[in-house]
Amino acid sequence: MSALRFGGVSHLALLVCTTIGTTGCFHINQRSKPATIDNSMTGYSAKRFGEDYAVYKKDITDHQDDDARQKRDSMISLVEVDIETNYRAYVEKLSNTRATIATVGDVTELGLSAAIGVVSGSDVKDLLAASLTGFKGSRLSVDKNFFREKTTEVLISQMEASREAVRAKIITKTASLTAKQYPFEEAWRDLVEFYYSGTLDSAVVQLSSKTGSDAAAQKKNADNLDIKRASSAEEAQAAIRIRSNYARLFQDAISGDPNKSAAAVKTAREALTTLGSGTQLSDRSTPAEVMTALRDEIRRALSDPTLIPQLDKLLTPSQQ
Amino acid sequence: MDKTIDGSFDLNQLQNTLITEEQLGFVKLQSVKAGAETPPTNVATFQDDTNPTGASSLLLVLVGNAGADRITTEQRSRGRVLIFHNVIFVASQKADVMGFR
Repeated sequence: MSALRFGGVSHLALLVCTTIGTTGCFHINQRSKPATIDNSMTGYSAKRFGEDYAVYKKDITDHQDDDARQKRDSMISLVEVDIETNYRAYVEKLSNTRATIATVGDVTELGLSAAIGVVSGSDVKDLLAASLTGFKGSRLSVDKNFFREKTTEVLISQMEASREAVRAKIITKTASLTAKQYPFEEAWRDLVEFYYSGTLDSAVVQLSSKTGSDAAAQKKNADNLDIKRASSAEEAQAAIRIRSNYARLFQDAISGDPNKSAAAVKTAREALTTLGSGTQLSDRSTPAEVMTALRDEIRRALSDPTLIPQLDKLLTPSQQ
Repeated sequence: MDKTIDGSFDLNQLQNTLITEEQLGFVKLQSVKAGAETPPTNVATFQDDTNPTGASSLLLVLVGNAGADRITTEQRSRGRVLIFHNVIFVASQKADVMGFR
């Protein structure tokens, strides 16, 4: 039994080693970079930057506005190239690292699950099962803490969107503003923003903010709905009866037949009084005025559906 | 006059709601169309109805596989008139709907 147990454990050790060995060697060939975009070629050194900045400041001091603008734009472009190169390498690393973590995680989980099935001895099985649970928890923790449970594609997409927004701002300013209107120091601040908009932290913050603002917009849209409550079939049928009874009373009220008119006005007045809405009417109110007041009361039922069954009962002849 | 309506209503709820609006609001439905996507919203267009007698009862029909022409022919044979034919939200999903009275 003991030998079998140790046999199971040694199988497991072999599996883990194989997994690590395999995934450790796992590598997707990367494209070689053309010399003109290689970092050693494009790198804007601090020394060169310092020299350019000194020239720019001199142009400003000497009121050589065109030269200053040209130098400003040149410096912005060079810093942008540096940030762009850095960003591309960062995205590549982010994708590869996460894919590797995911692959190692998947293979380890599969290995542990398989090992649980083949080893004998309940204590070893328990140990492996606990390890598997712990491993899954750790993966989830990494996902939550580092990536906030967002996919790599979503994070990169957000970084791209944020970067494009800052880049567009810089392009607009450089194209339309002189060196005095858009000094390099201001551009520098925009370039720092451009750099940070292409980071994981920024993407997570932007996505959270976007989710929040989307939710707020949705809530606002929902709050602004004119009709938020669905009418029931009973309410719709009652609405048809109310309108039909209103039409009958209206016709009677203006029919010219004194008895019919008086009866219709009496029904309408009683309904209004019962519902507490007849106060604006006087004894001198005409049949048309009484019917207008009843129409307004019927309209009020749209915002207060509790009035629907009451109006239905008050205006339906057989139920009076 | 336009009114925005919750797009999560199912077809019966929407029909009952529109009937209630017409009858109690003294208005007549002209059309319904899809509004905002989030949350799903429909926009109903009404016009004042000064006639004391309300509009005849409204019927909403999902077009589905039956086809618009067949439904129109069938409803016309029952004396109904087409009011609108639009893609609107039904239970928060886009659906091809015809309205008759």
